[in-house]
Amino acid sequence: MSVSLIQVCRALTVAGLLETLRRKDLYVVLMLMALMVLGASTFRVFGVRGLEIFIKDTTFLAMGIFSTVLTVLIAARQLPDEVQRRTIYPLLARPITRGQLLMGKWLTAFITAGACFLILAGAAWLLLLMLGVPLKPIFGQYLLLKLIGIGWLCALGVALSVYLTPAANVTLSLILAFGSGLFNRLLLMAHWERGLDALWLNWLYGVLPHYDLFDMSQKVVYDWDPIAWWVIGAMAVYALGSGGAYLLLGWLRFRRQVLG
Amino acid sequence: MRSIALVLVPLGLVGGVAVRLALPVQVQRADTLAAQTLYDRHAMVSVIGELRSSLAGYLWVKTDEYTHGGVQLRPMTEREKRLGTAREASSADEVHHHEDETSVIPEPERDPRWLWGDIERQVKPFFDVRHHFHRPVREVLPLYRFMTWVDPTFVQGYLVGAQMILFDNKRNLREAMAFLKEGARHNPRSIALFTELGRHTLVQLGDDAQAERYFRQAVANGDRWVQAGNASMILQNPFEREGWRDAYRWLAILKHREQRLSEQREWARRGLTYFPDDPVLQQLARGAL
Amino acid sequence: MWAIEVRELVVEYRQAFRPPVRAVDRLSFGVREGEIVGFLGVNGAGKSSTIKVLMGFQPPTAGEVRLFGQPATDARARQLVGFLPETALYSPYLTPYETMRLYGALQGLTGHSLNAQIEALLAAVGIAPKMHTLNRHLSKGMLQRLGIAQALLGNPKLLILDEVSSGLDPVGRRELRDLLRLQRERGATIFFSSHELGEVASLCDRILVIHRGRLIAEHTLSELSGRFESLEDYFIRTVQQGADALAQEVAA
Repeated sequence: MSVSLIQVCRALTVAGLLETLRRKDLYVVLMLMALMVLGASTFRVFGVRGLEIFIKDTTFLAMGIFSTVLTVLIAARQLPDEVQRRTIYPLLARPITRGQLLMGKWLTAFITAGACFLILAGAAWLLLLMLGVPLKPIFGQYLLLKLIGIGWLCALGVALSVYLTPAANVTLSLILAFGSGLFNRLLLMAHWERGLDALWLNWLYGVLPHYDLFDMSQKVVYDWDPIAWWVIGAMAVYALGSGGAYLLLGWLRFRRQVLG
Repeated sequence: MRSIALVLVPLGLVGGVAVRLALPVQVQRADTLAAQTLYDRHAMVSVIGELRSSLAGYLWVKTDEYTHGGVQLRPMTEREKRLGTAREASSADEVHHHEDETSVIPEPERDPRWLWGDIERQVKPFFDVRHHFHRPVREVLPLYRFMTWVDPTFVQGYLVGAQMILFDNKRNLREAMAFLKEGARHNPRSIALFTELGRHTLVQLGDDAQAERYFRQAVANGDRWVQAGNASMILQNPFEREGWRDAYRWLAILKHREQRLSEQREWARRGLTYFPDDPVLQQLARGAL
Repeated sequence: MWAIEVRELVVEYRQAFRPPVRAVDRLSFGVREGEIVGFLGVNGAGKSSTIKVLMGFQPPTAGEVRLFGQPATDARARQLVGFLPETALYSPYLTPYETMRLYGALQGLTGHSLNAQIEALLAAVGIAPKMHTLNRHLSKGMLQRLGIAQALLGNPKLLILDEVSSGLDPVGRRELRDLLRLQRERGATIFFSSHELGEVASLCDRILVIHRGRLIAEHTLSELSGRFESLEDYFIRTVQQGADALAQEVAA
């Protein structure tokens, strides 16, 4: 009896979701976010009115940071936790391949981190409604694009966990996630100020991570109109391409890695 | 920047409330020996004071972003200014013009990125800087209220906030003056706040005598900084420096209007001791206007 | 038919700027279907390295390892194998029931048959009352029992057990012996490493002794009966002789 990839993914995902819900991370993050949003809104009590944009900005800032940190932590611990607890052995003792395990771990991280993000977003939406700050339809596109980005970030985190220690993985993933906008800006400045060739620029641009392009929170905060759907399609293709490449690199090492 | 802000915002909020309740706000800024001692000796005062300043500074940066609907502007580089490769932000009617500022995300025709640039222009707030817009000033006003509430020693918040109140509606002079007076009450050693109060009193209300009292207070505060040996500190602050210089200018102009030319020259000469290169003061020192 | 075939197995661990460490050195042995074989050796003898290669967790440096005629690295070979690792700390955020469901699903088991197996196995290892308690609240011995239960999922034809009685109290050891006898009765092959020589003596048909990665002795228990005071006496003398022989070989 062979085990299909779907079976592997389903089994690992159910266990991963249960684990994440039983850890305290998500609840701590929810409480912190509520504290921040309510803290920002309390200024109404002290006579500072008209802070809708500030409250929205704070909410989306908190959501963006907390969801990214949670995603990185969830992705980075998928494989190392199994190795550290030595439970990687009973897993690999099953009739599954290492490639299936890696894919299963990616999907576990994606679904778990995605669910955490949606819970955060739902809580944020409710909080904002309670504070009388409604959101425009572009919020739906924000959720979709961010979910695609979370899938991409999970691929990066799971792949890096094969090469790096968990601490190094978390650090590097966070730098790549939060610093992606800065790297991109530096490339543009290198083009304008130092004459970096456009071909090189675009090549480097394609190689460097672009987590910032999955975040359209600022458009939601300032009530811009929904964006063209081809952009979300293009980012999905990018996520599939580069996320797939990360997982492939991870698998190339993991398939022959001596564990423990 | 964002992650730092995230840590600072909640800590600043909690800390701001705590210190606000516990300490008089004037000791937050170390402009007297007593305050300096308190600042140095009490770690909590120092840390919480810095947090309040940081939060106010963050909100200050945010005001520009809020004004432009989330679109980020940046100063042009020297090369861009020299070669004219970047475009200055200005509105079609030329009312809103930002000298030497351009958008962080470039316009399509000067963006070397292929598809990436188009995607970024869709995903992030973007407009063509040549036809940029400002959101209604009214939406930004709460931020000035907020930043000065968080850090009542944040002088520039009061100065620009008062200007914004008037931009919103020129008939809001009373609110603008009240805002400036609140700033002066919390920052009795500020120079710029008294100069700004004097300017509005002179230009908008036409009360020369009261305006002169404000300008004299501004100059006296400047002298106090000098006597305390902190002239360089105040000169490094562009708002206070400009306020100090303008106080001398306004006093000289006032005296010119009263035809007391020797006093005009005297105020201008006193101003020139601190601002020797200022052409307006030089002109006023010659007795001209 | 051979359940396990190991031929000229070499396992080396690479080290930075130093020569590689050879953990297993030209090891060859076989285990027939239905046999219970004890794998003995002092700490660092190479038992766990051999077992890791048997399970396909790491590739051999040289040599060949087959399970039921298939390469050990082949996922299909593992369909027939149940494995107990040495001291695994099963996820602290799952219950024994959920842990078993995870491994059962990865084994390809589903539905009622999986549920029935889980309940039967958890009862057999004595942790049925704790099946819905989080693993982090279980003792080391209980986690070991959970490990044994997961190894038995799917009624494997071959059981490979590393330090099988680790963490078990005397009652637990007796229950384990009974359980393994039951497995044998249903025709399973059992290959296990243990430092509990009494347990080995009471269960095994045959023992393999390795020292510094080499097989130094291979006997059936009937061959040993009457020749030594105890299995412990045999083991200590064998290891000592093996060490001397290896030393002479190195000197020569």
